[in-house]
Amino acid sequence: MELDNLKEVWQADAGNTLPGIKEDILLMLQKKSRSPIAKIKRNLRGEMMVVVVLYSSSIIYYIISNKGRYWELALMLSLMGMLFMFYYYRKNKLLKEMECVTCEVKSNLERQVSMLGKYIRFYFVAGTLLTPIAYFTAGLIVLYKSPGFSIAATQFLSWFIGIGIGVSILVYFLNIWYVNKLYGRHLNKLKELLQQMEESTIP
Amino acid sequence: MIHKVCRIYGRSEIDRQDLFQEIIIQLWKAYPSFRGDSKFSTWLYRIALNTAISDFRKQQRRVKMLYPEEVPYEVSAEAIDFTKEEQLQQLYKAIGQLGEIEKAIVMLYLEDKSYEEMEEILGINQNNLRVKMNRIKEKLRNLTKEFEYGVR
Repeated sequence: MELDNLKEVWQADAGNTLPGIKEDILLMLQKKSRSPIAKIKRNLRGEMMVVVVLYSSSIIYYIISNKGRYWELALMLSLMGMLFMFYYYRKNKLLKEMECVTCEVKSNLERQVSMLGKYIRFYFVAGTLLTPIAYFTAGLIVLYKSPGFSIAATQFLSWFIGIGIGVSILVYFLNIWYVNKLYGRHLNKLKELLQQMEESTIP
Repeated sequence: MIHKVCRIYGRSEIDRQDLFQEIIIQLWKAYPSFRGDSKFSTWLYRIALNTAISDFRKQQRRVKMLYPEEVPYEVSAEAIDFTKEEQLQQLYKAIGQLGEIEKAIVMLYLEDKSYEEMEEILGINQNNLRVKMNRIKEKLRNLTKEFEYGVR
């Protein structure tokens, strides 16, 4: 079977076994995109909504409960919430820049590899840092506000710091595993495709 | 053209329909940004191939499933006198064995696109494309020989 002899057969074939009726296409346009990036964007929006609801309710709770005794916690949560908003803004921006379907296939793949790499690094660094920051800040505020708290209570303080370090290490490894599970295979496949395109002309 | 991209990249009817839908959505979203800097067909091929090549997650999960049209069949040596439809089936089957990028190259070649236009769509330089195309032809020759003599 010679490829050149089949050009005519190929071009005569309409390949038409799929919907093509105007109504079917209009129906398709009403559906959501199922591309990996569109799915990540939707997940990100969902995650952001959860954070907004949780943080807002916690902030309101700390403002009105205990006659505003823990208002510093509300302030800290507001700052954390702002950090989270920046985090979502940055991730969304990277996702928007990640895909260019009208670009050359190779440059689109290069863009996806580069942007996904940045996205993963940002996800990992932010995810690893936010937990210990939140733990130590919240813990210190609660301890400082607690009756009878003394900085001299070294045993309690060393436990607090020890647990904080333990949690940070755990979160670090958990993040490595989670980020790799979420995006590792996708990134490797993109790199593999790019490698196929960049293969040297020397046999 | 979109149907052919779906037929090449989709492993089952469901995959093909999903891919068709995805390409239509991407075309719809991208259309307002079409400035006419390149030929409409180049723009269309870019969107279709970018969508097909990047949208591989779901297909990979389905790789291990066998669909009736994918079940390998052996063609007896007597059946050399293929009709056009049979030739086409053999061709699609052989193309199905190629890598994602090779599929795109061979499709553009069969669509009679010049190497210049292929470069515009894929972003691979023409010399590299020529070398790749020769390798693909050789690969397809071997694959179809295997099908004809029932090696697979």
